[in-house]
Amino acid sequence: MEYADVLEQTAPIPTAAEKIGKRAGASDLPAAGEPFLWGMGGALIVGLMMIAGFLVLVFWNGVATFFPKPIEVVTLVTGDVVAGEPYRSESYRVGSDQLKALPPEVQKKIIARGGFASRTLYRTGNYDLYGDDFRWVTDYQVATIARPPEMVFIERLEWGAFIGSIKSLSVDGKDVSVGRLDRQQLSQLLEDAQGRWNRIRRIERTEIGKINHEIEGERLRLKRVAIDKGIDSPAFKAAEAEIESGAAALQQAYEKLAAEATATRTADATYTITLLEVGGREKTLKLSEIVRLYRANDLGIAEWISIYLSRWAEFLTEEPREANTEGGVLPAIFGTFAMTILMAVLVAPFGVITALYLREYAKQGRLVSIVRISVNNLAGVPSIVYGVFGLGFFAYIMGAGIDQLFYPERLPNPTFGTGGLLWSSLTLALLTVPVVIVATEEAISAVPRSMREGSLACGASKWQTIRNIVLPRAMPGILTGLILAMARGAGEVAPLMLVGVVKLAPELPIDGFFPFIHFQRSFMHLGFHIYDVGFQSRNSEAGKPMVFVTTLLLIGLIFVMNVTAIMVRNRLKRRFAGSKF
Amino acid sequence: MTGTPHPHIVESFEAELAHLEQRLTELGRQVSRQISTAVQALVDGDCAVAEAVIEQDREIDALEHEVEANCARILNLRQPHADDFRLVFTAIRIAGELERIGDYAKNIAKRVHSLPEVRLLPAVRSIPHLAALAQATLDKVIAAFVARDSVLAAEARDGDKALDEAYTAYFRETLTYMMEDPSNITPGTHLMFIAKNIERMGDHGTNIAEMVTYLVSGSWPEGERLKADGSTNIGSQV
Amino acid sequence: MSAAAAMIATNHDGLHQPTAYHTRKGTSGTAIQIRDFKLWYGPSQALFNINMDIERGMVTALIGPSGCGKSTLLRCFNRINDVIDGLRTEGSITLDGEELFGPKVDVISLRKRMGMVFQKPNPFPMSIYENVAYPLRIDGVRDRNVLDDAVERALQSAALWDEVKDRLQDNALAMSGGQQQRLCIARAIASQPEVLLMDEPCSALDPIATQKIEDLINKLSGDYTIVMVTHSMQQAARISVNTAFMYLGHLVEYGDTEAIFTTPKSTQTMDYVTGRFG
Repeated sequence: MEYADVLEQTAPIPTAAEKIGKRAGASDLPAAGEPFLWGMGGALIVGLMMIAGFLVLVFWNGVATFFPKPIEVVTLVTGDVVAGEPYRSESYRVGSDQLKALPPEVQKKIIARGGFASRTLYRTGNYDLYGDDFRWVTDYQVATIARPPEMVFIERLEWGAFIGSIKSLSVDGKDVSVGRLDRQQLSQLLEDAQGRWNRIRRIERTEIGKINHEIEGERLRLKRVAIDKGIDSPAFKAAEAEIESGAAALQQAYEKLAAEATATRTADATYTITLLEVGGREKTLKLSEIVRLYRANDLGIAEWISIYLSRWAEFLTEEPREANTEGGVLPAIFGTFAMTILMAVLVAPFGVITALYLREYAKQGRLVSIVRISVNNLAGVPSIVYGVFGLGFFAYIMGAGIDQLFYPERLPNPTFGTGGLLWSSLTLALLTVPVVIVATEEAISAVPRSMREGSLACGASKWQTIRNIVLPRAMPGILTGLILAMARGAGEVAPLMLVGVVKLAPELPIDGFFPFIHFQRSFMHLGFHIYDVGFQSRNSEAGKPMVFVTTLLLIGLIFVMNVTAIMVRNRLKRRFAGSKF
Repeated sequence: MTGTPHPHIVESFEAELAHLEQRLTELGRQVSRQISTAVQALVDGDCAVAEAVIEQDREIDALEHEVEANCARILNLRQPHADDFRLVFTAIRIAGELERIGDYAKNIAKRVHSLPEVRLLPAVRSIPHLAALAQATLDKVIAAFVARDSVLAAEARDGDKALDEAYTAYFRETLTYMMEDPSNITPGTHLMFIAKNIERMGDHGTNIAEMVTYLVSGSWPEGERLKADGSTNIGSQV
Repeated sequence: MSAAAAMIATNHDGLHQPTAYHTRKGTSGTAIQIRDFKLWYGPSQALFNINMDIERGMVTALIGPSGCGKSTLLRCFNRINDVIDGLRTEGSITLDGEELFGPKVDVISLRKRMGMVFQKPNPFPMSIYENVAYPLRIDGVRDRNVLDDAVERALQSAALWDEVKDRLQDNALAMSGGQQQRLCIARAIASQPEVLLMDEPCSALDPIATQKIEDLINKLSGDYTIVMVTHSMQQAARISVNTAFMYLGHLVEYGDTEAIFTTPKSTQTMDYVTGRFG
């Protein structure tokens, strides 16, 4: 046979490519794990986008809240006039009854859009005149829209905003026509008025407040003596006499101040402004009642920016007005800071010392493991439970005991027997202590054994080793724990509602009177403020922008606190850098 | 190899090697002195000096043992490399060669002791010349060792040729003396052995020269030594 | 002496013996005595009947394969094994006649009489000055002048002074490995202990740094009794006067270093030093 014939008859030898075909190659996805990678990457992106979206939403709404908006004067088809800032627009489904009541051309238009019409929410202000701050105006109701330049937007101390035009001014009882006043003079007058108002406030709050404080102090002193020594004792009688003699002087001082306040008030009352709202009604205000006044449709860039910035300044440095829907949040900022710092001061030594004991001194066995597990589980307890514990144990039991011992004269008004700065900080310290303990334990056990042995070999005792070597080395980790604890604590609201945060606090917890830090006072808190403004105010529309702005502020504050703590930690970490082992 | 090496970081090692070299050099010098002293005793017929040479050889042996023990310790405990290793390795062999040279010197002294009147033979006059040649070779290789000079060592190696030739001439001369007068045979034979010893001293000296070359360059010298020992060729027909 | 003898008298050229690392300076007594010492980690025994006399002022090396107990024995001398739970010992170790394992022993003051250098250099995260001053500070020394003197002395002895005298306040962790180990040695000798314990001090270092440390150990011996654990028997050969070979917790052979490396008495020892170990 020919060789070629033999070749034909035998089965062809499979080529290399065919042989390999069956085996998994680089194109086989499940083996390479790529789908999982894509999946995880996708989930991460979604999460990040959600966070970014949330932050953008808060940022945009927060920043836009204080923009001065134009005032539109809308004349309706019915002839009514509505003036206000356009807040937002939306399309809505028209109810069938309403639809029937409308003229036929309008009905056709609405049906053409599938039953939807658009409407705009206007902030009309003038709550005292209208009974409402906001009003919906549907598109089909509108006849004309104008933006006359003489419309003014006025923020008042009471009743919120006023939208209208200025009719006349009265200075020292004499009328002055508005046309003769330029902007400069008007703002000068307003400034003076505010100065007077500040003076009155200062007299009443600070100076009369001091006197009241003294009187109250005397009263309590007397009561204390009564409780200690008895009403019939000579000591009581002596004290009573002493106080009475002092009382006269105090009374005099009080009267002098009161007179000054009254005089200022009377002088102030001679400065008034009469305003005209679009419906034709008039309203007269004292100049000192005006917080801010500007022509909304006539703003230059510089004035627009200055109004914006001054609103931010007011927000950050003033007290709230109008049930927290206006004004500033300074007490809440202050309260949040005070409470967070006090909480950090309480939790740091407590957590660090506990962790030191658990890790270094306690004999490692079952008991210590159980303690450690319990501490870790503490972190899982719902925070409202901590609030209940704080109220029940700290306030009602410990606080009542303190009241009995140290403040019997104030009873039945509780001093420490109710929520306050101290109990709130203590409750939150308890809530965040597991975080600090865990972080400290990790940091301490991360100190290499070689370093400890080196110290022991030099003849140091265990405590000397801990103090000189272990703790400084563990400090970055401990600070991390503290940062986490502070971030968590600053954001908790639920327990605080039970143990010391109030909607409106009459005083700041830290002031100029001894003992300067008043641990028993209630305080305001930014987190609670958000809840209160958003859901508890009479005017949810007015409250919404405040919610965004306060949220923005709270996020900003926590961010700043964290960044500061991280910078401190990084500075410490650099001291331990450069180690080769 | 270029450049001078730095001293060892471990100073004790540096000190040990320096000490070894000093002791070895001292051994070389002592042996050199032995040669000249022994020949002087021969020429003067001084038995007391010959005694002293024989005594001194004990010290030389002890010194050789000391050097070898040092080398053993260094090799065992320090594991030297490169030039340190070559130093210790050649030191052992050089010490052995020196000790052999010393033994030859002692041998000469012994013969003086047994036959002091040997000096009366006129043939004695050539011995110092032979000894001077051998001693020169030895001194040259010791200097080459100290200076690590392989050129000097090569010179010494080649210079042994002169000693070999002188020895061959002396062989003939002494044969002549012994053939003239049978009473010269005994002293003449002694002188033959003495001359042979001196010739062997030179050979050991060239061994040392080869080792110095190895110490300096790390390779053994090429080619056969120049041997001019013609005494093996001398037949009874003069 | 006769002229002839004078002629051939040996000329010493003013030679002197090298500094004797393998020779004795004469018996100076025993610093640490170990008698019938046994040690258990929990249920398993780690050291069996160790009997040894460690000479004062000399370098003693402990060699042996991994896990033979040499580090364990070393760490018993300053009782730094105490940090390990479940440790039990029997037998006695005495330092200058004082029992180390008695019930009334003050471990802290014992450790002050010994300095220890570890395998990995472990300087504290402080300045160079503070590292060396640490043993004195924890002893309560506050006087700045006393501290300055002690730091300078220790750094000079550790052959580090010239390199760091201008930067004493720099962070110790920024130095090279060899310098860090010399710093640890300076720290160990700062309070002038009697005994220096070294646990494989050169195993983490490069050859040049190792030699510098060996040179340093040479110079320190004489003032200090040095016990060194090393896994390099060549190192033991180079710098120790006495060597102890340990295997699986037993002390197999102990004696003069040169004797052990020339003619060891036990076959096990010979197998180990010649690299025949199976």
